[in-house]
Amino acid sequence: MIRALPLTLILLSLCLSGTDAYHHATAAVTALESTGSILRGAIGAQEAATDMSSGDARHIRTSTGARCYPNPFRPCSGQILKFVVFLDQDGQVTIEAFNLLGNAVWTRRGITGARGENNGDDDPAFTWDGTDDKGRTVAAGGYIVRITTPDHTHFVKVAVQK
Amino acid sequence: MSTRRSLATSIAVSLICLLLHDGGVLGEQTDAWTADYLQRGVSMRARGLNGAFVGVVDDATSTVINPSGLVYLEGPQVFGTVESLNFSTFLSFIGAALPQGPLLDSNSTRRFSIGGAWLHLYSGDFERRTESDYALGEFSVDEGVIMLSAAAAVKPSDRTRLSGGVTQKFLYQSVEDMNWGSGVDVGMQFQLMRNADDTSGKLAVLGVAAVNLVQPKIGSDEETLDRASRAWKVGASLDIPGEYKTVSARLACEMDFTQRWTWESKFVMGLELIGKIAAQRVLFVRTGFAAVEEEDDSWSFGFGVRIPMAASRVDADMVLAENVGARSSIVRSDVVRTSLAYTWLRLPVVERKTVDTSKTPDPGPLPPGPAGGTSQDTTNNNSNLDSLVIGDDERRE
Repeated sequence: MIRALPLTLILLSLCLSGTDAYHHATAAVTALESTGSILRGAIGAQEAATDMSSGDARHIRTSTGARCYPNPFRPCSGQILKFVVFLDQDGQVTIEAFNLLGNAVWTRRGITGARGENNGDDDPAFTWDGTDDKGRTVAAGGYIVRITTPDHTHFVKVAVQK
Repeated sequence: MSTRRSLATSIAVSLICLLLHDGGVLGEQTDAWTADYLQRGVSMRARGLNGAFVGVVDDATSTVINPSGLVYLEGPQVFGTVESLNFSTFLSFIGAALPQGPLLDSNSTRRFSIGGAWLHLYSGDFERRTESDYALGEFSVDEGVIMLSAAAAVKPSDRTRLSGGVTQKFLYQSVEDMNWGSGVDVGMQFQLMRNADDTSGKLAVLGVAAVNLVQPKIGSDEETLDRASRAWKVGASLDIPGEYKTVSARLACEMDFTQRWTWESKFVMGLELIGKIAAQRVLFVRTGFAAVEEEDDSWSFGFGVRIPMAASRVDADMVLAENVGARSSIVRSDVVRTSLAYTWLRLPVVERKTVDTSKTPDPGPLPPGPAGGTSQDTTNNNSNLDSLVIGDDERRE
């Protein structure tokens, strides 16, 4: 049994190193996507990153193709998730929420978006109240939101807290 | 006989108590269902069969699928897999099982096994934002379950095996705050052997599992608890020996009933083709079909390789395609998912017999034997180790 232990460790290491490669690959793809989104957002929204007057380095309002706030959010306390989506031109937007296993839980299609910034603060169509397609509250946890615009597809990660 | 009867009575009483405990209640509109990852098979062997596994499982993933399968392991096993789902999300599983005593055969009428597992879902790179839309760095979401299982098997007759198992699970979830919940799974397996001969192998298996029979509830607020969905699973498998003993097959099917706001049903069928070399099963090709209520039908394909060693073996199972035909998912499909299992094979215990030469007459010159042939120790040596291992494998078929 002891003699076999190193082999087990090697196999587990191989398995983990393989995963690490996936992790790095995923991180690279995500970084590329984020970079693209930032550039697209900067052009579309004509809004540059701005330091807030507090001077706190963390408090930087970033400008990306899409984002959402507050994150995490508490639907049970009446909080609503607001999306900010930048469009290069007027068009239809679809917002879908998937759980971490990739299963769709909520979809909103046919949202009419205007060129520039579309904010859930101004347009309730760009919000999610934390319910599924049948109006039932979703479980606490992580969700991946896919925002499809006429020109781009953005992904943002949202956490529902209870 | 009385022991067997008392065991059966205690299992029946436990099941009735568990069923009466908060059983048979469908969810209300305000409920939310969590821990869906428990319904996703952790083993790529199961996923290759599209989930038709409750009547097949006999490895360390039994803790998740059907705890009664733990007793059919040939020896201690460690099992691991890590899946990259998408967007910095990983599902990892590590489990171990420790069966006690030899496999059920003519010399052994009962067997026990214990197991433990950790299933963890991690997702990182969440951008923290305030209600005023200010970025505050990043955070991650973690959830998972720690499971402890025990199983026992008896041999009601020469041709049958009956096993039962229970899993105590502790679920956790961390979205800023850590919350806990606990639950219980129970499962049973009934095996019919091909004939009374120990080496004949099994013919058919019937498996039943109640997942989350005692339902875990997670949350900090009593009014907004999330519940893990309860599922009843019934599955069967049939082993079909090959004509030339180089290829055999296993057919498996399973019916799942999951209790959420309504009853959701799922029917799965799987086929496993087994290729053998020198009487050892070394190659597995799997496919499975699933018909899920109100969803698209789907197919899966996978294969497995077994690497036999002197007194152990490695199983590497892969799934090549999943949810083929089902509606699109954002889980990445461009990776081959793999699970690995390492099993220490338990060899038959041979009593050590040493002849006392001082009290026996000299038999004369000893015939030539294997290396170290002058020894009169009758314990197995390495030369017949392999044949014993092969014998074990043949018995399992």
